[in-house]
Amino acid sequence: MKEKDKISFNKELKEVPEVRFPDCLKNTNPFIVPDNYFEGLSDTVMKRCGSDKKVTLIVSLKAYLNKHTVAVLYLTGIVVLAISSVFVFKGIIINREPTSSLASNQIRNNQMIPLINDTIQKSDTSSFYSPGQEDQIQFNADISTDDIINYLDNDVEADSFYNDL
Amino acid sequence: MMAEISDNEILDLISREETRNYGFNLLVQKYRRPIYMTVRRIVIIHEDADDIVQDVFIKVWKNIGKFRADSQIYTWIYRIAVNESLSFLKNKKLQCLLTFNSLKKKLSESLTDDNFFSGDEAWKKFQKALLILPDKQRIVFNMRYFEEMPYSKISEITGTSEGALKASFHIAVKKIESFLKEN
Repeated sequence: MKEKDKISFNKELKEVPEVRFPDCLKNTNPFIVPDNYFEGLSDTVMKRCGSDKKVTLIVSLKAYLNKHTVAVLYLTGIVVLAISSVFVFKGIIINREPTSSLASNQIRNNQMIPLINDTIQKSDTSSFYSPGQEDQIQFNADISTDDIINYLDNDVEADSFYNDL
Repeated sequence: MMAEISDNEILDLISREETRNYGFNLLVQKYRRPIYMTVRRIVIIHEDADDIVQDVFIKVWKNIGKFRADSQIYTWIYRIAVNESLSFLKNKKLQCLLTFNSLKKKLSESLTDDNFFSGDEAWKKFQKALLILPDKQRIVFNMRYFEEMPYSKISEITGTSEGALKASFHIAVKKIESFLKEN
């Protein structure tokens, strides 16, 4: 409805008298009601209400269950989401661990370069420092990784190490 | 005599297990006539009105525990009656696969056939004019014109704003006037 029409419509609403129909239409009732209908109606309704007594309880219980079932379902959904999100995050953390341990191993390997055997390909020094190249590094079978780590931890000078050999 | 018993007294009787049936009987006796007339004006035919009124009071019985005192109990029962009547008309259309105009035509013809309609020609014409209105608009007109209900109460029953109700009533009056002039 356009603004002009709205304004004129509202004005019309206020000005028009309430109803212009004859009062006789309002004051007479053309609908005939059968004799004793209303007395019978009360009895009929009370009889039906009495027979529906059990139904009333079942309906009430059903309404009660539905109301609480929805709440339980919501809570269950939230709990499931929370648990699954915990597992998802845990999975992410677990997946990351090898990468970080691999990186730390890589650093250790790089630190152990001076003690590494002649089988290392010294011509290609960049391979020691690039990721994924650790397979080119070969350790002397007689010296274990733990020995090397222990040596580094004890802070023993390189000369004494070779003297022991 | 029934009018002397207040709604609060009736509700008090219903709230107690030992007097529940008695209190509900009083409630039915107090409001059976106005509720019947409201429904009858909507559905026209007595047998249909009878079925609906019984369903209304049974619904009241089943849900009386859910009634909140924020509105009057008559308003609450009235709202149930209006909704039941609208549902009935909707179902009747669906069941008979009738179009909007066909159902109204059927109801209009029943004014002549119904043994329980004593209105003269003027009344029949007026009732036929009412039947051209959409169901909800007709209900609003009935409440305002026949029952002289204030717009605030109609708003509470129908859930429609007072402004919209006034507009609806005004349009209904214009449509009825136009129909009566043409016929």
